[in-house]
Amino acid sequence: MSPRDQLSPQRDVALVDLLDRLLAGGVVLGGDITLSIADVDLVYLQLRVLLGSVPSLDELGLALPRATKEPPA
Amino acid sequence: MIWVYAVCKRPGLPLPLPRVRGLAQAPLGMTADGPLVAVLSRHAQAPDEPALDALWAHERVVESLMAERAVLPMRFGTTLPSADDVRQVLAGRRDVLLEALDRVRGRVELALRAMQPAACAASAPPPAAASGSEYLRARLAGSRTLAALHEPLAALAVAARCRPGRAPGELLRTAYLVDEPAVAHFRSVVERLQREHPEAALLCTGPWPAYSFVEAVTG
Repeated sequence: MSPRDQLSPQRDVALVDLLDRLLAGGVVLGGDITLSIADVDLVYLQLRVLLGSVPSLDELGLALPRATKEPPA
Repeated sequence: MIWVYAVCKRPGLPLPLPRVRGLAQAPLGMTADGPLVAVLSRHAQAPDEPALDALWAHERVVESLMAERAVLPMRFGTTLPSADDVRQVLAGRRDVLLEALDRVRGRVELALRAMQPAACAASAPPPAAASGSEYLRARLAGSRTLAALHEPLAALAVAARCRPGRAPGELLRTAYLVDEPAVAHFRSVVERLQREHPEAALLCTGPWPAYSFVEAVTG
């Protein structure tokens, strides 16, 4: 059993960590993030439903990804 | 519109992209330039999918790739208009991308959060300290705990990063870049620290792709 397999069940309770990484980490290529504020709100709403009570966006220390509609010039 | 999941090095081809699907069940594709390849999916418009499903779909693709090779995970929502744009970005930032791939090769990210146990059950505010000296004592004890938790783990990691902005009752939120063979040892040290520090509840997740250690690439 690989370390990955052992740890995967924990991911059910690791949504905060998932959000930290996918929304605040990673490489931004070309600076175009297609993610609207409404989408992010929805993520947090779903998270709240799943976990009962979760920290707010600010408390998570996540900067809102900028929603851009236009490709970079 | 092209949704980019990850950038890898080309000599790792052929990429195993069989059963894994991208956002909105889109098939995965690749666009290569020189030594680099971007793993992506094509969409007529922004994928219409519940946001949480989309996050996991993105994560699944990156993880399926990292099982076999070094990957640079893209931030969720990274899109480019066309394959030409992808090639252009890969060419324009080849050096930094290759350098970042070298940094994460054979390594994974582990996430650690330390919470006050009471804060896990209920997010009630901590009781007000009766006096200023009591408050200071509590603060000092807290920072000693933080150092006692963080330092042994940082010593096992290639790099560590403290994330800002903490939830109420959260003492520590850190990411560690760890050599893959050292993951089991890292976990055992977390377990030991948990036994030694019942004043904090530790939550360690991973291994994650190295999301927290590739941001320097963003220009």
